[in-house]
Amino acid sequence: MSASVDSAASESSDASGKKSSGDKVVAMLGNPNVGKTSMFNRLTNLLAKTSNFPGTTIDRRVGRVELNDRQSISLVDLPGVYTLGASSPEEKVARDFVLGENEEVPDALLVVVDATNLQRTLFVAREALQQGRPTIVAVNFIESARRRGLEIDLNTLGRKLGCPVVGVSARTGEGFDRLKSQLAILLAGPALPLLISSGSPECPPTPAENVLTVLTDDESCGSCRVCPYADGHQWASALARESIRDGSVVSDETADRVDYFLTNRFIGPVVFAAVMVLAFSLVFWFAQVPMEWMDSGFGMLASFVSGLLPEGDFQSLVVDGIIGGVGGVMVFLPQILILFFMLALLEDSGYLARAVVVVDRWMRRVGLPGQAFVPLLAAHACAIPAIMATKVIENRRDRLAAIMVIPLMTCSARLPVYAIIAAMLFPGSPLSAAILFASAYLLGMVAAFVVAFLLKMTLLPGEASHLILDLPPYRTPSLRNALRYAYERGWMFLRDAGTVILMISIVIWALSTYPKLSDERFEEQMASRSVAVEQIGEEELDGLRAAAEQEHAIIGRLGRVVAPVFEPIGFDWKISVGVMTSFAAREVVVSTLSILYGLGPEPEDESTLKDRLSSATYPDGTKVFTTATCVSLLVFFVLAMQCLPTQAVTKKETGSWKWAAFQFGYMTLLAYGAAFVAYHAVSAFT
Amino acid sequence: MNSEITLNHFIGTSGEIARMDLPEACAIRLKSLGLFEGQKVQLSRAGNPMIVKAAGGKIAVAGDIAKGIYMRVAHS
Ligand SMILES: Nc1nc2c(ncn2[C@@H]2O[C@H](COP(=O)(O)OP(=O)(O)OP(=O)(O)O)[C@@H](O)[C@H]2O)c(=O)[nH]1
Ligand SMILES: [Mg+2]
Repeated sequence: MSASVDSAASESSDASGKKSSGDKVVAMLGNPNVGKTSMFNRLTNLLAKTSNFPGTTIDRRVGRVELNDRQSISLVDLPGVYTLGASSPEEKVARDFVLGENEEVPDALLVVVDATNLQRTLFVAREALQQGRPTIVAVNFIESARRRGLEIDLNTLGRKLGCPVVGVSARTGEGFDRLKSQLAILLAGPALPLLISSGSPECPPTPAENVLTVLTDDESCGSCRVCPYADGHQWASALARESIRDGSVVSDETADRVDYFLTNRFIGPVVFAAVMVLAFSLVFWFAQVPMEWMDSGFGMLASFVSGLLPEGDFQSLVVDGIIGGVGGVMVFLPQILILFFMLALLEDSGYLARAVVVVDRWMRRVGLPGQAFVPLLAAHACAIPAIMATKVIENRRDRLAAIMVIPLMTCSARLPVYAIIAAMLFPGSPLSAAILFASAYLLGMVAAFVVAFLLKMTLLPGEASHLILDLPPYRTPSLRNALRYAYERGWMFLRDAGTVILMISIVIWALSTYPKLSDERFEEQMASRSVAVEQIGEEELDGLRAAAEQEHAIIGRLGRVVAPVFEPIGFDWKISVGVMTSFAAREVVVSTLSILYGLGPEPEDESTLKDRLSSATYPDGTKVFTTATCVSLLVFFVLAMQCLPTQAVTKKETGSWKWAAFQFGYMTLLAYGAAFVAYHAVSAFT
Repeated sequence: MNSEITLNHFIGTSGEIARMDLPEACAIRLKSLGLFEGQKVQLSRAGNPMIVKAAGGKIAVAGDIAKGIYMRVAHS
């Protein structure tokens, strides 16, 4: 949806990493998924994306933190890295920033490690300390470790590392005051000489009590002493053992058992399908009732306002243009909220990585890497962040394939269209409506797989690269995070409805109201169609008049131009105009239809958009929204590329307009072709 | 005398990595995740992709990568 442009823009606008107002710069470094962004959000009060999956942050992001009354810093959140020696694009972002490759080195490093898995996460801490910069280590997940009976000896850890160590929890906020005061002390003091062994025999270990001193003799004679990775990992696991006071090793048998089921060759796919169906049908079910309320609420508002205002153009602008157009889109707020809420919960649980294991083999068959699964899932919210998230895919071929098919996934902007069609096709049968919803989602996914396969056979030959994925632990999702996230996205949606859609609505209203049809012209028209004006009822005459006015207005003339293009797929001129306007942003079609079908004689009751559409007829009295037209419209919206912001992001991420143009071209053709087939197939049966 | 078997053919619950024969970038990724020569790993899911546990983490690796990881087999 178009709202995401803004988020993309604001994301990049403060991603410059430049110091503002001479604040010292502190960079966050650590493994993926250790909670860097969660800490960043807590410290800066921002709401950057977090999830329980490695590789969530793909670009640096800067925020201001007040350490105390006098001092503030620029905190830079970076993508997680397993090592500073790696070469994937997002790891390079972190590496270059920490090493000061392109600009000044940061004044200090805030290294984040995971208290529940020190062994794994201390490896990067060591690499960071080897940079010799002022460093502070935050041991995150401290509350989670404690709950599991794991007590970390922070003093020992600090002594061995030779730098300040603070236990924190980004979930509860524990330890953040101390973290801030320690950061202030660190930045105030002289740069500590941090002395760490380089790990190579030529450079002797340095005297400070850190690093190699924790290696016992039998560990230091491992077979791989010259390999810095083996060295670092052995160091990390030895240090982890020494710093865990309790000594009890975390039992992860339960997780193993859960993993066994979730990734089992037979049970895994079943669970996967169940989770997906459940998640998306819940979006549909839960949203039903509040949407109906909002819908009739706007209906009541419209009739209330039209009672207040004198009849005329202004009344029509407010009632039909603004309330009809904006309200028509706003009623989908509940669906948007629930969708984002559920996705956030799912992302936080740790299940997604297991789903990747399950789907990797199928995805590879069509030329998509397993890593593309998470962006594909995220695309169900919005294609823009999803396309940006493909940065985690290292291989260019794989990445292009993923970017090309991502917009085929049902994004939240399509929900309003699906919902309207579902309501028209299956009034009063929520079950069938839910099935229709699911089919639309499924159609998008199947199309993505087919297109990916065709790309593999033609433009993008080759094999998808092989999966190496660090499986995150299962964690209780944070309700607070999910709510905040849903709230933010819901707010963006409303803001959008209040700006872009409001503007388009007013324009559409104006285009469909002016120029006015004079009485003489109307009578002439009626005469030419040999309608005996005197004999028909007043109500019917009003209807005829409204239709004639609309056709006379600019929009009607435009409609006549584009209508022939869409006639083969069963659209009337109003739908055609709606489709054209929705190329700016999908949900606009709903407001356009709402205005085009809403203008005209005052509806007696507070009719909803669905009622108005269902009762729309052609001049000859046949229904506009037949089953075939509804299905065709649905298919068209599932498959068509109607989102300018997505196109811009595709251009940016692929580096050329060629791919954006290709994406637009193939999706439009696909949508038209599939809608054509669907229209004629359904027409044949009904 | 030790002999070797690739990870995708490895049977058992735990073993030691003898060597890796993989492209540079791939090998670095594995090493940074704690899969390096001499490391003891536990197998937690066979098949493709397989899941191994090492250095406190759980890592899914595709079958084609497992082919390039040689495990030590102790003759008894
Ligand atoms: N229980 C608990 N969960 C946490 C804590 N900190 C972060 N999390 C969760 O851990 C997961 C990962 O957090 P992120 O902040 O996205 O991690 P990150 O280090 O930024 O990850 P990348 O961007 O992938 O490098 C999310 O699901 C968080 O909700 C914590 O202190 N306690
Ligand atoms: Mg992050």
